[in-house]
Amino acid sequence: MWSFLASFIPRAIMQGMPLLYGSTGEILTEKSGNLNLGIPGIMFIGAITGVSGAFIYEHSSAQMNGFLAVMIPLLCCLVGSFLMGLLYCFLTVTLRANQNVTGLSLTIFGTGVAQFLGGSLIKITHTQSAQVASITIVETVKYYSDGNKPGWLAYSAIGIAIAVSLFLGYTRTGMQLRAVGENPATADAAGINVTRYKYLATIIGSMIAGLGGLCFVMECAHGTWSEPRIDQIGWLAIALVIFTIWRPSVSIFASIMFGGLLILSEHLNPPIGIKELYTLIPYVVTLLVLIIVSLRKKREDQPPMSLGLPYFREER
Amino acid sequence: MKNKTSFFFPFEVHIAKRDGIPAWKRWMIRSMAILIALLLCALITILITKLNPLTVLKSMFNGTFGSSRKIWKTCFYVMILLGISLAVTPAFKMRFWNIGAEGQVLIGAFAAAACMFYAGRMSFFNDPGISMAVKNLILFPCMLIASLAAGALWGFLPAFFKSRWNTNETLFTLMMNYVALQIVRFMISYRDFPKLYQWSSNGTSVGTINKGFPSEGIGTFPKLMNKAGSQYLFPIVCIALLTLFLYVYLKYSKHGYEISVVGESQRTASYAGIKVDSVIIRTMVLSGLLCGLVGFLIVGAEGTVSHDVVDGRGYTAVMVSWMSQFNPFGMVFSSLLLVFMQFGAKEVAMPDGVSLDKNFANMLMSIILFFIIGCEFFITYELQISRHTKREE
Repeated sequence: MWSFLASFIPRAIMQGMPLLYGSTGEILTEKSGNLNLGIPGIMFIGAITGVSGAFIYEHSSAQMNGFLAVMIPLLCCLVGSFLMGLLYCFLTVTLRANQNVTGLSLTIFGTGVAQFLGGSLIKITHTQSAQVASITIVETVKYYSDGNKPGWLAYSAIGIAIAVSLFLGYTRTGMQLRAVGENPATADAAGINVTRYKYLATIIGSMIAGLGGLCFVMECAHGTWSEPRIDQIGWLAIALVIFTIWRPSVSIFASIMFGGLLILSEHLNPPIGIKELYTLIPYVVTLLVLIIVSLRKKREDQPPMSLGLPYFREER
Repeated sequence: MKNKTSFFFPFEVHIAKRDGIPAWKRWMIRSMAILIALLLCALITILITKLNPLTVLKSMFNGTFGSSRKIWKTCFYVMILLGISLAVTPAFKMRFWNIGAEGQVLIGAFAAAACMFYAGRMSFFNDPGISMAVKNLILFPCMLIASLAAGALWGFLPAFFKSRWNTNETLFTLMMNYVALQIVRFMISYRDFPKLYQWSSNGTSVGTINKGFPSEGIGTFPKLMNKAGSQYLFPIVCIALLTLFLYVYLKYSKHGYEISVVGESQRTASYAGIKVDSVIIRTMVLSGLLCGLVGFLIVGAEGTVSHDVVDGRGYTAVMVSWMSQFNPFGMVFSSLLLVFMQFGAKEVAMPDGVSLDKNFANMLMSIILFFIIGCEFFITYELQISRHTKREE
């Protein structure tokens, strides 16, 4: 039992961290009133840009430098997800497009780009088993996870979640951001620049989510790209946002729990198929939370009031 | 007021809502956007493949309409995508963000397949003395009803909670997709479905009903004069009729009118005496029913079910519906364009052996959609650009 827990818990934490990144990013975004359904796509883009960066670095330099091996994928990932966030904001805030449709097309776009580039990477390296990209980086640079215990990306996820939690709860800017998400017209009247808040929150949120993709590929998948199921991770991250009732601090534990549920079947070795039922649990639980939250109507548990709604100053 | 113009951009841009816009201008803006998007897509394709654009186009045509089998298949998949798009349209028109078509179709397909499977275990259906037509006559209605019921249930649940307690429907339907997916995966890999291959004479792959033997199969649509691909005829006709029905339903029926009023403003609707709750539930049940129907058609034509039988079309359909501005006939063209890109891309092989694929097509498709989403802004609003460098206040 003890040995089971000792191997299970670190892996659960590791599996949960991409979810934590995704949900922290989405919480920040949703607090500004933007329902960004593009999270799976953004995570895909974050993952592929990061892996491509690592791949190119690995193939262009003979000697690995630990600092660069961390910074290059990180920067590539941040730039990629920044652009995705910017695209979403430009369409929904400046061009006032529908958030659901924009988010969905962002997801399809990100998934398409990442899977296509990932597939090409596999073909360029002529490896059949899809074992590409930055496995050497992960092997030589000890900051990344070794497959059994969480690496630096996982630890930063917890740090970021705590930081966002404090930011939303205790800073002036955080409270103003929440005001924008609750009632942009009032916030606007109070002199808050709604557009700027929406842009910043969404872009920073999508950069955090992008890190989740990087975390998934570099740590959970151990630096390989083999058609990862990041879309599933992305949708689960959105589910986590509801599950934790928009609280990044709760999300730390909830994401570890979800991560544990995702890999539970591998550890318990149930009869074939029952495995799929374990994977069903997070979704059903999220559905129940969604229903219960709407039943109880407690004010602090509700989604941001203007979530998903556009805001135009002239039309209020 | 602060003067926002700069030396580099000595204009002032003012956004104003248009009072109205003539139809020709609206369509001109849209076609411009699509044209720019297509050019951009062509540019990306050329840059990535380094092939002559005509060669690319030729191989895409070849992949889509190259042989009679391919034509049947293309038509079928156009119709499936069209069917799902039609199914989500009433809900979208009502501003009910149903992104659960994926799950609704999947569970519908699963219900139909389950009927086939359980029928396969009954002695009646294995009796060689009874003719195929009789067996099919009994089995098809069962499959259809099961599919419709399953789809309707998946549509009803989010609508019920939305209308009763205002539960967020986007997130609800999203979760329902995964519930459906996991149920199907579970049933296929664990419960009964591994034994499915016993049902067909020599099919052996797990989770497959009669795969490869639709002509002998019970519960698959009959072929016309034994021509390959003609089992797709029935679904194609079905969805064509559905397109007409939905056009009339949305445009000329009382229900359709109520849907658009609720979509415009729930308050207006309830002041006008429309029961918003029941309209929401009714429309979502309809949406789910139609999704279930598509699931039935997929299983009936393919004779198989797997967890990726819908393959993201539920999400793509949302885009198709939006691209066509909820016009059923517009959706025919949008679906055709998307399926053309998806099937065509597979045929385009680059000199270094890497071929384009579905993912590449999805990428191009979303670029087109970004432009279409973006251009709506220029239809609703106009930019008034003036050269004033100073304001007189």
